[in-house]
Amino acid sequence: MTDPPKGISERDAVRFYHPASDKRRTGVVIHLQNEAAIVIFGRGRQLDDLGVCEVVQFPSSEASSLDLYKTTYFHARCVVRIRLSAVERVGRCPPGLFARLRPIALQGVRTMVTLR
Amino acid sequence: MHLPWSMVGSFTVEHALPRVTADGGGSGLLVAAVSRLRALAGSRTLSKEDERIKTAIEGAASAIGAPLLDAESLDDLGRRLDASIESKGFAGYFNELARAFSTDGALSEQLERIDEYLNEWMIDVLGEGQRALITEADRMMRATVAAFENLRRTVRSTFNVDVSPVLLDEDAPLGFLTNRNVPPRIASTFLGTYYSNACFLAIASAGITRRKLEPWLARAIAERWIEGFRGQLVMLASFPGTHVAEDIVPRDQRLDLEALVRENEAANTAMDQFHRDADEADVDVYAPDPAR
Repeated sequence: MTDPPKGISERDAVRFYHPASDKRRTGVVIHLQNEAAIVIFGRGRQLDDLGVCEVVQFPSSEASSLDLYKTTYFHARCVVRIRLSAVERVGRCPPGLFARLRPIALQGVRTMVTLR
Repeated sequence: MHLPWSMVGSFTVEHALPRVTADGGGSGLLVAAVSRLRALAGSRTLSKEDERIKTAIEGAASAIGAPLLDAESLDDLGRRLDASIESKGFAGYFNELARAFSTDGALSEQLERIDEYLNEWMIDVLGEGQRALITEADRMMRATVAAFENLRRTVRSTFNVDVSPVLLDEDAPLGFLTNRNVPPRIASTFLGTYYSNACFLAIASAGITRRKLEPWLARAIAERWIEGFRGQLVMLASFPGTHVAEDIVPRDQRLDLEALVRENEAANTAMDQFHRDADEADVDVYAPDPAR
């Protein structure tokens, strides 16, 4: 992608290429600053060493809102900072799910900043 | 003199105090409005103020509450709730009601006049199976109103000021969810009151249209209504200067609001650092956790 997507906002669901896993991941924008976003992203299975986790069941209206195609696990330590030019908007996170994901993401950010 | 609640006292949380207390979190507003309309049932002429309340509550019940009554499953109810609170009209209806009750003391007076009849009306709408939940909600509502009144009196006597009506932001009614200055726990409580209010409007809609609900839906709506109420009361009980009985909100369930604010500030500091670290790394996707 070359041009930054227009109108990305907090609570948007986005898809992006995650180099570490060499996969396309789906996440939710937690915080925006300039041309970048802090995003909590989901994985296909739960892993104990990735911290607390919120599960989005498939099929469900929440999964549809995020354009997920399977049950997805959002861990505290699965948080990244992404340039907006590298994301594709795929949906909008429902308010209730966002209210559950945001504290997990903030916890993850605090952990990762402390780890450095 | 009017002063926003958030400026009162030593403890300040930008959005918490006004939203939770100024109108009983919206729930009190709705209960008061429906109660007033019930009391006026059969009246041939309504005052301008009552006409305004009637129009607002009927409009809100139809636009916000009625769609919930068509839910086919719990998941579908959740989806409809989200759609309701995100709808354009949601904040507008609440603001109209808040303005209708904006005369000093009008809301409290109305809430004090609520009698058992409203409970019986709700049981008629939701079914006998929800009697215990409705009784519990009534208890919480009365505790909320009493705590709010107490807080308001304290502020009045201490600061000689009154409360400005707090209106929802009609352009971004859910803006608090992404506002970094609102701690997540407090944002969740606000959100719970929004869901709660939408559910109360669903109950009102069913009552107005005399629609009978399936038991599972009646229960789900009643539970969500009360859940938001409870969250709101827990937060209200957590503010210094309020008095809520311990048998309604036990001490160990109350929030340490100052700690929530401190934690949120620490999270914001970490987020800023996270952005700086990412800028320094100069990559499209910055993922520093070795365990990821």
